[in-house]
Amino acid sequence: MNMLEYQQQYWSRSMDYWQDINPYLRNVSKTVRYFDILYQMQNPHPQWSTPNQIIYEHQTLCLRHFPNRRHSDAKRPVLILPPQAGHHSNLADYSPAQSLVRVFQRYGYDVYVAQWISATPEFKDLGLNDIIRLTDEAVDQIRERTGIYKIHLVGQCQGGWQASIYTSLFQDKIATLVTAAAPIDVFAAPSDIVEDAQLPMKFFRLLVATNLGLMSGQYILWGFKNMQVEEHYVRKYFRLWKMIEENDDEGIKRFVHFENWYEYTQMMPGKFYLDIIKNIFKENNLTKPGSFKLDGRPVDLRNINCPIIIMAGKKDHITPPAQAFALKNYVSTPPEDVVEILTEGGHIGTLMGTEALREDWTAVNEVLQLAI
Amino acid sequence: MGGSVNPQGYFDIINNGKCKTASLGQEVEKQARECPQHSAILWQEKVISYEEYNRRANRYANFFHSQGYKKGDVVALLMDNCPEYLMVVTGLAKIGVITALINTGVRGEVLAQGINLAEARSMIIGSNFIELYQTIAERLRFRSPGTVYVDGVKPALELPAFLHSLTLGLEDCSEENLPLTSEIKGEDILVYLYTSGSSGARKAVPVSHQRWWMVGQQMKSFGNLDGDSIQYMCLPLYYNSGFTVCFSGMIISGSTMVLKSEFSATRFWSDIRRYQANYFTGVGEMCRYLYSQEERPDDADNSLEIVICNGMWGDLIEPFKQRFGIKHMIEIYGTTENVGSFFNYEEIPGMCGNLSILNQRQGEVVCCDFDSSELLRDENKRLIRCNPGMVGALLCEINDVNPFYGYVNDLEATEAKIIRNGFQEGDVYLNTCDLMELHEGDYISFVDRLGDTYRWKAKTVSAHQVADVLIKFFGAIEDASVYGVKIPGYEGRCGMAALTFIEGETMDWKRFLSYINRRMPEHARPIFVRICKQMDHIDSLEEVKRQLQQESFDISRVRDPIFLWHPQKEAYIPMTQDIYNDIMTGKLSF
Repeated sequence: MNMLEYQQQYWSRSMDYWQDINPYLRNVSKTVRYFDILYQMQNPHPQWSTPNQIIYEHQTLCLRHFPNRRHSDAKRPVLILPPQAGHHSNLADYSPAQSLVRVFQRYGYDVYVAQWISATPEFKDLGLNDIIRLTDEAVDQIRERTGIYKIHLVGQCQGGWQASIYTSLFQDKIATLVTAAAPIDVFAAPSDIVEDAQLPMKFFRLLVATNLGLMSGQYILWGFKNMQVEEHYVRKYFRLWKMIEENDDEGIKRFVHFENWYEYTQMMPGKFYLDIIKNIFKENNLTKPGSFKLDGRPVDLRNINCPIIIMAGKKDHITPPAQAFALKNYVSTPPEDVVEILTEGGHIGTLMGTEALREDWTAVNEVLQLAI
Repeated sequence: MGGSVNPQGYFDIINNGKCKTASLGQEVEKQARECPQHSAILWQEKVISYEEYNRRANRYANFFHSQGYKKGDVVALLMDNCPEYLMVVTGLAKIGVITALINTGVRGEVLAQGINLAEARSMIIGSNFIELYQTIAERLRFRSPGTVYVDGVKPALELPAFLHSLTLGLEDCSEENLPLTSEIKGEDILVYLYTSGSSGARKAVPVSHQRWWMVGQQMKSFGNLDGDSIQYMCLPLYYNSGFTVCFSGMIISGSTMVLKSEFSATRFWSDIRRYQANYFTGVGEMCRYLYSQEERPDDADNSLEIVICNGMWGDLIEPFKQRFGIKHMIEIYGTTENVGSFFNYEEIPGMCGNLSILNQRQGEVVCCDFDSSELLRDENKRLIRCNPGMVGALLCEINDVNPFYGYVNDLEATEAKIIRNGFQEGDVYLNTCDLMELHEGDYISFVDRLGDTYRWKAKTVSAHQVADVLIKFFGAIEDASVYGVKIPGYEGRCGMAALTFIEGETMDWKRFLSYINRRMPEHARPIFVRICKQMDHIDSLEEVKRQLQQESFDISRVRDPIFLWHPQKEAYIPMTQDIYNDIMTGKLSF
C-alpha cells in the first residue's frame, strides 16, 4: 500500500467512525457528493459513443462515418441530420445503449452523421442557404464514397425540417425522407417555442448582436428551460438528491450523462438563426410553396415525392404531433407512401429515448427496408 | 380401408406422365364429379361434401378471376386452419394463382418479411388476424392492387380502413367450374411454403401442382390412404406436412379429413372416437404428448388404425402402438424444398425411410465435417458416400421427377443448397443439411440438423433469426449468439442465448420478455440466457458457438450467470443448482 492509498483508507475509516457516532454526519458525505456532481456539470463534455471517423469538414459541417462492424448489407447509406439548436450533434449517438446510429447499424446500414460544430465569428454570416449547401456537400460526399445515387436522409427536430427543405431542392438524391419531431406547420398546434418566436425581430437581432453575430446555444437552452421551469430549476435537483440518498448509482450515472449533453451548448451562425426565426417560426413559410428562395431556388415542399416516414411524440411540448405530421399535407408523395409514427414519449424521448429507439425507430428501419 | 401398400401402382401412375397435366383444381373437380356426396371435410359440427367443397372453392376462383387475377399472380394467405383456408387455395389454384401460405405463428419483422418475400398482389387474412395485421401493415409491400381482404366478416362497415370483406365480395359469385382450370399444368406453381432452411434466413419455396399431386399419390400408395379413410388433421396448413402431405393425400385418395384448428392432447382421443377417424398424420412431439397423458382403461378403444409420423422416437413406436391399439405407424421424412420423399412403409423401428424406393435411387448420405457443415470430397473432388453405421449429410437427387424450383427471389440461397458434380459430371443434388445415419439396406434414421438451425417442439428455429431479434432489444444488449442445447427427455434442442451487455448496463427482464413475446413465436423463445463478459467473434464465430453449446446450461461448468425462462412463473429467473437438478430429472417440464 502506498502513501496515498493509506491516506485514503485512513480518511474513509475515520469517516465511517464519525458517522457511526453521529448519524447526521452521513448527510455530509452525501452533500459533498451532491455538490461534486453539480460542480462537474459546470464543465459538460459530450462525446460520441460509437467508433467513427471524420471524412469531410467544411465551415460548420463535420461529416462523420460510423463503419458498421457487424455487417453492412443494406442497399443505401443513411445520413442523420441532428438538430442545430445550440446542442451538440451527438444526440444521434448519445450513449451505447441509446444510439440512433447503432439502431441503424443493427439493421445493416452504413451510417453517416452531419455534425454541426460550434460556429466561430468567421461563420456568423452563414445563412439557411449555406446550411442547405453544406448538407448537399455531405450528401455528395456519401454518394461519391459509396457509389449509391440516392441515400436515406434522417432529420431530427430542426434537422427534420432542414432535411425536408433539402429533399425538396434535391429530390433526385434522396430515396427516403425520415423526419422526427420536426416542426413543419408551426401554426398547426400551439407551442411555447412558436409563441416565443412571435417577439419582435429586433429582439432576436439583439440576441445575436450580443455575441458578435453568433447565436449562443446558452440563450436557446434558457429558452427551452423556461418552458419547464419547475423541472429544470427545482425538480431535477430534488431527483439528484433522492438518487444520492438511495445510493442509486445507476440513476446518478444516467443523470450526469444526460446533463453533460443537455447543459453543453455551442454557437450557431447568427444569420442562420435569424433566417429560422423569420421563415419557419414567424412566417410559417414551409406551408407556403415558393414563399422564400435559397440561392435563387424557391423552396416548395411539393417537390418531394419520395417515401416519407414522419415521427412525432405524443407528449412533445416543443413540436406537438400536429406540427410534425403536417408535412404530409405539403408534399407530392402519395398517401400510401407516407408512414406516420406516433411515439409515447416527449421531444427528446422521441429522438433518443430507449423505448422510442427499441419500438419506434425499429419500425422506421423495418419500413425503410422496403424502400427501393 | 384397404390398408395395402402399393408402391408399384405409384410408379405406374408416375411413369404414365399424368403428373405433367395434373393440378389441384382438376383433382377436386374430379372428386366432386365422381363422388359428389362423399364427405370431404368434417369441421366442428359441419360436414362438407366434395360437391359443396368444389362449389365453394369456385366462388373464390370466380371472384378473383373477375378481379383480374391471372396465372402466376400471388395472393398471401394468413388464416388459421379452417375449410375456407383450403377453399381459398383451391379456388386460386383453379385460375393459376399462387397462394403464399403465411406462418401464423410468427410476428413483427419476421412476419412482414415473409409476406413481402412473396411479392403478392393481395392478401387474405382471417378475421382474428386483423389486429396482428395492423401491427405490421406499414411494413408490408404488395404489388398492385395491394388489396387486403378479410375472410369471415360480413358487414364491411365493421372493418378498419383499407380492409375489404371477402365474404361480401363472394356473395354474388358463380359456383360453376371455370374452363380456365383445365389450362393449369403440373409444372405451374401451386403454393409458396416458407422455410428457415439451414442458413437461417426466411425463404419462400414454390411447390408445383405436380409435386403436390405426387405426394398425394405417395400417401395413397405408401401411406395406405384410401376413399374410406377418415384422416384427423391438426397440423397447421401452412406446413409442408399439413398442406402437401395431408391435404394432397385427402384429395388424391378422395378420403375424408377431420380438420382441426390445432392439436390438443386432451381432446385428441375424444375427437378420434367422435369422428371415427382411422388415420392421423402428425409429428413425433404430438405422439409423445399423447403418450405422456395418464393411462386410461379405454386407451385402445378407438378407431385409429394408421399413424403417419415425422420425428417419432424409435423406442416409443411399439409402446404407443400397443397402448392405443394402432395397426401401422409409418415414419416419413421430407424437406420443405420438396425434393425426395422418404417413407418407412416397411415399419422398421427407428428408420425414416430408404434411399431407394423400388430400386429408384432418391439420394445419398455423404461424409461431412460436422463443425463446419462442409461436405467432404476425395482426391478426385468427388463426394464420399457413407458406409452403413456412419453419419453424414443427406443429399436428394434433383431430376425431372424431383425438380427443385429454387427459393423465390433468392438465387444465392438457392445455389447454396445445390451440390453439382458430386459423384459424376452433370449430377445435381439438394443438400438437405440434415444429418442421417445410414443403416444396412440403405435405410436411414434422422440424427440432427446441420447449419444455423435447431429443432424444438417439432419446429425448426433459425438461430440467426432469433439472435437478430435479440440484438434489436436496444438498450443493454451489445451482442447475442443463439444456439440449441439438449434437455434430457426432449426431442431436438431448445434455444439458448449468450448475451453480452454494454458496459454498465443492466437488463430489464420484464421488458425483455415482453419484447420477445411480441416478436417471436413461443417455440423460438430462448429457454436459457447466459450473460457473458465478452464474446470474441474475431477468431471464429463457429468456434465460440461450439464452445458455448458444449458448456450448455450446466452451472457447474459455466461461471457466467444463466437465466432460465421458467414455464410456470413465465419469467426469466436466475438458474440455481436446484433448478438445474429439476431440469435434469425431468421435474421441470417445458
